[in-house]
Amino acid sequence: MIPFLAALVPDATAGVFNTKTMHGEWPDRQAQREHVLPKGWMQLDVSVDNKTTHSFRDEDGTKLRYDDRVAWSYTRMWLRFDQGFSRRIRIYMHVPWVEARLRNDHGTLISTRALGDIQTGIVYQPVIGKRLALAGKLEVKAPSGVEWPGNFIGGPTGTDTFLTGTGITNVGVHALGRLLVLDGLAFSLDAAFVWKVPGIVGYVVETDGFGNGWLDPGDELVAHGTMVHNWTRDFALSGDIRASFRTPYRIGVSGPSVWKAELDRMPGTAGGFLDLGMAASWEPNPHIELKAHFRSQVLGADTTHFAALGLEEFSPQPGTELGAGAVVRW
Amino acid sequence: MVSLLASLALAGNGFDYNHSDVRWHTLETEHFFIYWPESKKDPSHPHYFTTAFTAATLAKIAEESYGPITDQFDYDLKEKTHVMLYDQDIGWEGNGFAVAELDQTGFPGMWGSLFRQRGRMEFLEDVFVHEFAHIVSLKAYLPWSEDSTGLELGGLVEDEEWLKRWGAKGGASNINADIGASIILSAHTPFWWAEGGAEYWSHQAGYNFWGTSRDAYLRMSFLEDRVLDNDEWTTRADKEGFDGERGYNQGYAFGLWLRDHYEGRDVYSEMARVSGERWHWTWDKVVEEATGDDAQELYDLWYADRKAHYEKMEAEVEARGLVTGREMWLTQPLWEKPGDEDWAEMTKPQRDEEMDGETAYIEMPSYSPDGKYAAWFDRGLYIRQIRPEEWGAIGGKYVDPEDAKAAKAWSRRTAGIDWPSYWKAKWSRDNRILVTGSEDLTSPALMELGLTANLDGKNWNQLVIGEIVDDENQLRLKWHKVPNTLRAEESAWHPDGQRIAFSRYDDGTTDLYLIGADGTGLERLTNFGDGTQIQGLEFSEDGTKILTSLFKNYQQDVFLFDLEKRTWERLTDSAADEVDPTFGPDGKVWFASDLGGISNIYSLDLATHEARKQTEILGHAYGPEVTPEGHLFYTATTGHGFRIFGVRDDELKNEVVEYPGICGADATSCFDLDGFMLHKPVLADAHSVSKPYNVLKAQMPFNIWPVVRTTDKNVEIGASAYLGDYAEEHYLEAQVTAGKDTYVYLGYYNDMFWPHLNMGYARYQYKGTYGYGNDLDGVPETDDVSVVDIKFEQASDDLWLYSSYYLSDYLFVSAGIDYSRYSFRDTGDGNRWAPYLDSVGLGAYIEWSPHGSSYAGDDWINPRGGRRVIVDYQYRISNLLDPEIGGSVIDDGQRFDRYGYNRVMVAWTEYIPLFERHTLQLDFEGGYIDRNVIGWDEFIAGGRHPYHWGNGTVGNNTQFSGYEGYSLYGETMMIANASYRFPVARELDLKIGPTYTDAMYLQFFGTAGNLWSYRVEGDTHLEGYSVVPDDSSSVRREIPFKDYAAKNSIPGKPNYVLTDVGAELRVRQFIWNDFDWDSFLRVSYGFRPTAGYGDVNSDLIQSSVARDAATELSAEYERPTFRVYAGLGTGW
Repeated sequence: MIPFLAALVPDATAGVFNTKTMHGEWPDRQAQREHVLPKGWMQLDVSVDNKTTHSFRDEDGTKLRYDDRVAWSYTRMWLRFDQGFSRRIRIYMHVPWVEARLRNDHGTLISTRALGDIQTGIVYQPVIGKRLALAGKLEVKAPSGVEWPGNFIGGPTGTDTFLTGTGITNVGVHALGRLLVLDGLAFSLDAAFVWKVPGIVGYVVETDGFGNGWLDPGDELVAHGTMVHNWTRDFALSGDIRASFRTPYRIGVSGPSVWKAELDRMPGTAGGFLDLGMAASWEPNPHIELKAHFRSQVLGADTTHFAALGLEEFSPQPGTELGAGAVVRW
Repeated sequence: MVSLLASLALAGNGFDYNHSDVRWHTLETEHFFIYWPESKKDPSHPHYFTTAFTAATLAKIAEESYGPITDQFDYDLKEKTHVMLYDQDIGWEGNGFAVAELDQTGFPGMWGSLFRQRGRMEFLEDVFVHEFAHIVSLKAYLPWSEDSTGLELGGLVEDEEWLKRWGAKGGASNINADIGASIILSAHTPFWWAEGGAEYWSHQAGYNFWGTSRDAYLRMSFLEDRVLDNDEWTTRADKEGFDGERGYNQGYAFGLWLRDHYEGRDVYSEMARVSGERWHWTWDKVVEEATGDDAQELYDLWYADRKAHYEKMEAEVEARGLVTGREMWLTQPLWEKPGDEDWAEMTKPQRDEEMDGETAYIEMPSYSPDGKYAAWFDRGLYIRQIRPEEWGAIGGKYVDPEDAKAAKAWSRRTAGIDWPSYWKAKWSRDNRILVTGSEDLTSPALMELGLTANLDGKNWNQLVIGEIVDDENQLRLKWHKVPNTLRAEESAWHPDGQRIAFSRYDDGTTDLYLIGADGTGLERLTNFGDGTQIQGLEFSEDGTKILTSLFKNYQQDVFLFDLEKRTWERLTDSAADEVDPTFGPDGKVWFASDLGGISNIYSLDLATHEARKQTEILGHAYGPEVTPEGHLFYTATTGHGFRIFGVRDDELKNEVVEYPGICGADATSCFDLDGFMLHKPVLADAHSVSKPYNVLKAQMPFNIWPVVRTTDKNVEIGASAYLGDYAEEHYLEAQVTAGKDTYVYLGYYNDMFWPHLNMGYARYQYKGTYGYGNDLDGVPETDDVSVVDIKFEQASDDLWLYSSYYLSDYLFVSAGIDYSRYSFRDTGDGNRWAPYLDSVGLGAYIEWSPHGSSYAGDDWINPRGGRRVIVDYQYRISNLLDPEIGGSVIDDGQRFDRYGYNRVMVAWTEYIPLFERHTLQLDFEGGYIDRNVIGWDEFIAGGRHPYHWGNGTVGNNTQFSGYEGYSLYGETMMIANASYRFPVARELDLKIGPTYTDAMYLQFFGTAGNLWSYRVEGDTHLEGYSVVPDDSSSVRREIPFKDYAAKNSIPGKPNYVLTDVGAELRVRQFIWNDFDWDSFLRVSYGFRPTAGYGDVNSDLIQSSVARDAATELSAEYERPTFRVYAGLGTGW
C-alpha cells in the first residue's frame, strides 16, 4: 500500500494526492514540527510494534520471570490517519489490529487476532510558528476491540482467547508543550488525565455465570517527555520517558441502579509505570518517512490484574517494545 | 431498502442519464484540465454532437482569465482546475457550478434562452470566469483544509425511561421523549459575497460588466422597495422569484460601490484573506476586520446611495414621459388599481407575495396574425383565444375577479402545457403554433403525469407544431413533432405556411436552417462556426428574407438574411444591444434596444432608416410583439419578475430618435459586413491537442468529513470520505465511525453504462446492554424483579448490487439483489461471531412522484401540490443459522429454519394544496408478506426520530408516532394518516448570529391502522417461550379489521385498529448562511395500550416472563402515552 501511495504522491496530475495552494508549509526538520500538522496535509502511517516478554510484576511491582517456556507476545499493527484540518487543528483516527500470543509452560500456543480499541482525537494549538508551542488535545479511545473471553468455564480467567479491547471508553485531556531549543533540537511534554468511563464489560461475569458486571478501571495520569534531535535535515533521533499512574479499579455486580459510587474497590490495582524509549526517523522528502523505535518498561506496579485476558492497557507487562513503520504524507 | 434505493438517485455525468454513448476528451492547458464530450455515434446520426470548438474556446478563455482572477486574491493555484463541459443533453443551460475544494467547475455548452434576460450574450466567457472566480475566492477564504470543509456533530437521546433504569428518581409520568440535535460546522460565506463577489471579480478581471439589464434589476428592486436587507441577502436557499437573482445583483453592485467607497481598495478580496486567517462566527466580523467598518452601516450607506441614484433616474425618465402600458392580466392587478382598499390593507410582505405570484418568469408574448390567439410563457406555455382588446391593458376592461362565470369561460378558452422550452412561440397564418419542445414528446397527459419512458437518455429540443382543435368546451391543441429538427431553438413560419426557418444549436454556435413543415427538405443556410448566436426569427411579408439579431464577435445587432441570394444585410451596427426583432403590421422592424442605458422598444423604417422610440420605461424591455392592430406587447423587468406589458397603439411613444448605427443612414455605417460575417476566432484544434479521458488522471481530491455523533448513550467518531473522477464514471464513498459501535460503509457507483449501478458493503457492529428482569413470581405487577445486566454484541454485514434508471422526471425504477448476515457474540465467544440469520433479497422498486419529489423553497417545509407513490417488491430468503438454537426459531407458533417469501409494500402520499398555503396531506402505507415469517422479517412500525439511524422506520415519521418505535410487527400492514398543515409565520427572515429563520408551520395529524400477523388458535404451547411449535393447522393469518392484532394486543384488550393523534411545529432554518438546519417539536398520543416482543416499554429491562403460553411475546406492555419528539437542526 505504501509503495503504491508513494508512487502517486509526486504526480501532480493525480488529483487525490495533489499538492494544493492551501497546503501549509511542511517544516523540514522533525524537531521543528508543531503539535498540529500544517493545514491541508494528510498523513497515513502504517506501523507495527511488538513486545515479547517472559516476565510479569507481582503485587509489589517486582519483576518476576516465568518458566523459560512461557512467552507473552503482544503485537499491534497500526493504521494511523492524521489530518491538518486547519492551521491550528489536527484531527486523527488511529486504528490498531492486535495479535496476542501466549505460549504456556506446556508449550501450548494460545493466540487471538482482532481489531483493537480505536483512538480518535483532536489537537488545538492556538499559536503556531513560535519556539514554544503549546496545545491541547482531546482523545477518545473507543471500545471497539473484542471484550469477550472465549469461554468462562471456572470464570473468565479460564478463557482460551485474549481480549483486544477493554470494553471501556477512555476520554483523555492532554496538555502539550514543545520548546525548540535549537533549529534541530526540541523538548516536548505531553501531560494527560485519562478518564476511563465505568461501564458493563463482557469479561466481568457474575459468579453464577449469568449476566455481566460493572467495571471502573480507574483513571490515569500520564506524563510523557521527549527530546528530539535532527542530526541532519532528513534524519532525527529522539529519546523519551513516559510515566503513568492509575487510580484503583472498582468492580460491581449487575442490577438496577448500579453506578460508579456503588462499586467495590479492587485492592492493589493502583500503581505506576515508567517507560524509557528511543526512536529514529528518516525522511528523504516531506512525503515519506521511515521510522523505528524501542521502548522498555523500567519500573512498574502489579501486572496481574486482568493479565490472563491479555489486557495490556490494564496490565502492561514488563518488556521491550520494538516498532517500525512508514508514513506517507500528501 | 426504500432509503437505500432513493439514495441511488444520483446524477451521472452532469445529468440524470449516464450517456454511455459519449466519449470524453481531456484538453490540458497550463492551469486547467478541460473535459469535453463527443458522441461516439456516426456524425450522420441525429444525436451526434461534438464540443471540440467550445472546448477550444474555453481553453483560450480559461488561460486568459487565469491571471486576472488569481491576482486579485494573490492566490496563484498550484493545483489545476478541472472544467467539465456538458452537452449530452439539456436541462440546465445558462447555469454553471463550482466546487472549490474539488478544484472543479462545470457548465453546459448550450447557452439556452436565459441569456436574453441577462442582456449579455457572451455566455461561455461570462459563466466560466464567474465560476472560476468562485473556485479561487472559495479557496482563498477557507480557513480549513479544502479536504474537510465541514464537521458534522449530532446526537440523539431516545426514551427517557433509561434514566430510571440508571437510577434517576422522580418523573412518574409516562411520557416518552426522543430529543436530538445536529449541526454541521462549516466554513461559510453569505450569498451576497459568494455570488455577488463572483460577478464583481469577473468584472474586475475584465470579463463582466454592469450592463443595462443588471442595472434594471437593481433599479426596479429599489423603485419597488424590493431590495434584500442586510439579513435577507446572507441566505440564498430560501429565496424565490426574483429574490434569487437579487442576491447576485445586489452583491455585485455592493462590491462595485465598496471599491469606490474605499477609493479603489479591493475590500471584497480582502474579505477572503481575512476569512482565510481563521474561522469566524459570522461574516459580519469578516467585513468589520476587512474594512474597519460595521457591516450594517456599510449596507445602509450603500442603500442610501443607490436609492438616491435610482430615484434621480426615475425622475429623469418620468420627465420624458413614461410609456409603459399595463401588465397583461385578465383581472386587474391590485397594484395597478389606485386607491384599492384591499391593496391598502395589505402588509408589505403580503403585497410582495401578491405581486410575485407563482413565478418570476412571465414573458415572450406572441399573437396569431389574425389577432385571435395569444401565447406566452408562465410556468409553461399558455395559449388563449383572446383578442388584444380583450386584455385590460389594451381595452381597459378587466374581468371581475368575483365573476366565477367569466373566469370559467376564460378557462375554457385557455390551454396550458408545461413541456415547451422558453423560446418564443410562432403562429402561422392559419393559426398553427410552432414551439420548441421535447423530442420525447408523447401524450401531454402522460407527460404531465410523468408516465413516459426515456430509454436513450436523450431529451433534446425539437420543433413541435400545435393545431388548434375546434372544441366549444375547451381550447385544445393537437401536437406533432417536426422531424429532423433536433436541437432547434428559435423558429419562424414562412408566409406560405409550408416552410419553417429555425436556428439550431451545435457546439457553441447556432446556425440558420430551412425545413418543410413536415420535416422534409432540410437545408442549412449558414455555417458560422464561431460561436454566433441567433436570437429572434421572423420572415418578411413576401417570404424572401429572414429577420434576426445576431450576437457575433461581442456585438448584438439586427440583420436580414436574403433567402434567394444567401446574403446578409446588416440593419444596425451600434454599441447598443438590439434584440428580438420582429416585423410590425406597418412593415417596420420592431426590436428592443438598450440605447441610452435603459432597454426600450424601437421601430425602424427600412426605407427611410428612421428609428422611433415606442416605449419609455423604467425597467428593461425585450421580446416585442406587435398585433395586427398595432398594439404592442413586450416583456419587461420589474421588481417582482419579468412581466408582459401591453400598450395601445395610440399610447405608443412613437418618437423619432437619433439612433447611431442604423445601417444605410449614412455612408460610414456598417462598412465591413463581409469582414464582420467571416470573422473567426483563432483557436487550437481541440482534437489534436486533447487526449482520451483517463479516469486515473481525472481523480478528484481526497475529501473527508469528520463525524461526531452520539446515539444510544455513547459517542461515535469517524469520517466519511469519497473518491471519484470528474466525469463521474466511478465513484467510491466510505464512512467509518468508531465508538461503542463500529460502522464501516463502502459504496461504489458506476455511471458508465445505461443504468446507474451501485454496489457496496456495510458492517454495523453494535454493543448493547439490557437488564434481564427475572420476575420471581411471573406476575409483572408485583415488585419482585431481579435485574441482571447483560452485554452483547451484534453485527450486520450487508452486500448489495443495484441498478437504477429514471424513466422520466417523475418515474424512477430500480432493481437489485442484497445479502445480509446477522451475527452475535457475547461472553464466552471470544472473537468468534455466532451467525444468526442469512437473508437474501431480489427486489424491484418504483417511485412515481409527479410534482412531488423535489420540493424547494416554501414547499420544502410544506410540500404541496404533488404525489409520491412507491412500490417496493422483494423476494427474500431467510436462513436461520444460530447453532445454539439448532438453526431454527419458533415464531407465531411455527418453526422456521429456511424459507422464502414475497414482500410488497406500497406507499402513497397526496399533498393537497388548500387555500393560503394550507395543505392536507394524506398518506397510506400498505404491506403484505405472503406467508408467516419470523419477527425480523415482518413489517415494523412505530414512531421514530428523524435523527435515528440504522434500520429505517415506516415512511413519514408522523405515522404512528404515538407508539413506541419498533414496537408494532406484522405480515400485513395498513396505515392511513392525515395531516393538516398551515403556516404560523412565513418570510420571517430572522437572522440571529449564524442562524436564519425563514418559516414556521404547524400541523395536526392523526393515524389509524394496524399491523396484523399470524396467530395461534388456542393455547397449545407446552412452554411459554415457544420451544415447541404448534400444529400448523392451528396457526392462521389474521384478517385485517376482522381480527384484532394479537401480537400488539394486551390480553383482554384487543387492538383491532390502532389510532393516534398529534401536533407538530416545524421551523425552517438555515445556519452558516445556507446549510439547512430545520427543527421540529412533535407531540403525539397513542390511544391504545400495546404489547409485543422483548423490551416493549423500552425501559432497558426485558422481562423474563412471556405474555402467554402461545407465543414468545413479552409480558411487558406499554400504556397509552404522550410521546415527545424534538429535533434541533435534525430536519423533521
